[in-house]
Amino acid sequence: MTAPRLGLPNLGFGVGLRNAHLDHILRHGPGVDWFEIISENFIGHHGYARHALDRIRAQVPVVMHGVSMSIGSADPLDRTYLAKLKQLAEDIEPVWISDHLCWTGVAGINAHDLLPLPLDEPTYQHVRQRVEAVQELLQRPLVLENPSSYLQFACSPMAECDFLARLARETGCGLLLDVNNVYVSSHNHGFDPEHYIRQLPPEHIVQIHLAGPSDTGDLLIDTHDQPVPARVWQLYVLAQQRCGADASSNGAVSTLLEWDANIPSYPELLAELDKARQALHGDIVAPAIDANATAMSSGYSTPIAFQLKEEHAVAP
Amino acid sequence: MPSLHDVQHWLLTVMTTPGGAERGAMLARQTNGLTVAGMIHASRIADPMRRLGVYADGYLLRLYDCLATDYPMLRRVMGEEVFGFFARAYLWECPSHSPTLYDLGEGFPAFLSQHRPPQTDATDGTWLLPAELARFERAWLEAMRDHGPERVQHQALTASPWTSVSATHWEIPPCVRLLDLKLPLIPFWQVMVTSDDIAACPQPENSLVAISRMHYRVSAHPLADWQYSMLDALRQGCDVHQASQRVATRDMPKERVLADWMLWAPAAQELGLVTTRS
Repeated sequence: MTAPRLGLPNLGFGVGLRNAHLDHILRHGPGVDWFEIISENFIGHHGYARHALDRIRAQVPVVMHGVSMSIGSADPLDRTYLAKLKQLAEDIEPVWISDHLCWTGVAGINAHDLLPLPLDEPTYQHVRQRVEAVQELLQRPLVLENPSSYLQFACSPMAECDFLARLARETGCGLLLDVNNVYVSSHNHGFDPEHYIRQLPPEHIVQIHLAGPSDTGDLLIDTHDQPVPARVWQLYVLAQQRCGADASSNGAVSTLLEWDANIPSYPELLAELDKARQALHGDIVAPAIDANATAMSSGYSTPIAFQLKEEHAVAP
Repeated sequence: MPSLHDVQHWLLTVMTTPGGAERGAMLARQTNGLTVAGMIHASRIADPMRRLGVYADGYLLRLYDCLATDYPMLRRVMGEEVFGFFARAYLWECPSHSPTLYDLGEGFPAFLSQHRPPQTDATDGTWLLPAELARFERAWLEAMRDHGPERVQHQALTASPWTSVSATHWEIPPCVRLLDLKLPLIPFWQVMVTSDDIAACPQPENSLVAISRMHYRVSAHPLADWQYSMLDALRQGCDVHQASQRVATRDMPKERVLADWMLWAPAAQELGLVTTRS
């Protein structure tokens, strides 16, 4: 166990909690060190999934990961949403709360996508002020994730890594470094992913995301529907090393595997997560992106299977 | 240099305009004079319209998938093409204003009802089925998520039922949905969930239904008029005497309502339709 970052512990190795796995987890145990839930799935949810979450969080820590804070929107902060988020946090006591450096809508419309920001000084000041407001409201550091993106605005003089690094240093927010998103965006925009990771202040990185994208021939799409490719494992090891991990450790920062479409069985998911431990010990066994799997992919950005309802009939 | 609001409004227009990113870009240019070439950084890997297309295509596909997941039975009944037509029209007319996708399909039943083709035969169940089935599926979804009876400490009815009924505070769990349908959908639903076939469309007939949850399992139950009215009155805060008074008719006086309630209440409790508190 390494020193806490921003007072937040290294939780070890976890996976995103998905409805498809709830029964297995309740019957056979978590099999992981911790879970990440999608906050919006549980706001106002008092059914089986919430019942399962209450049982699971009695066994292992949980963190809340949101997709609708819209921290970069030109609209005012959604105080109703934030109040519900805070209430959920009071109810389930997550170790931390995260969301994305993005906007999800404007003029009251929610696109339910993690949309890229123009990275300029006015946007920076806007986001900075909102991060501070959210942290004041939640009374804890907000943890922000770098999103995958498929376009860059012409009016963006700042690199995303510089924007995030400055934001972390000036607001004290944490960073959720999604190395798959770094890989996807670096391919789509032609930047060096290792440089991106090295630009981020390691003392602010409290979590790392892993996932598998789809290769559509030109752009990579962040589909979370297949195994983590070799290049992402390499970036993962680099990120852990930057945060202080060595070959004999189990990582310096909490690791979380996301899988949101074509979801495998829970044992298969855990086998994929185990590759993270192997990678930290110098053993990266991973394919390039599977072209067959990509052909089966829905191919759209920001998968939402995790946000959709559970099956109608569920085991108690 | 456009403002943050202008940039975001521009991209949202490009993404969400019916017809895709090309039409969206044209509309956005007419609206605020911003062009794709001026807004999007050019690069070798993909041109700006391809990049915008990822977001525009993803917007519609993502929300369509959400509606299809919320209304699986309706999708089967309507078929992919017809369901897709109405789903896309709904998404264009009623974009999401909520942080959660759970709310996205809330207005779909009303949308289907409002957009029933004009001059259709009101006695033909085929024209009623989409909106009524959507109401049923939405209620089912809501029953899954709202507060249920699972965490309520049930008070067993005592051996002295009259005393018990009078002294008991009856509550309707928030997850219970009461539906006044124009079609008898429970038999239709039962055929659909047990078979890959599409059940025959029922003939129009008023049908009162309660959808409830017990042990996190959702189920639907046909109700008699007085049962529906009693549950509705209790939900509005009436005690059992006030409710029975409200429900009573010339053919079914209050005493008869109370007596029937006494007989039915334990079964209703077992179905998750009511909970009790001393």
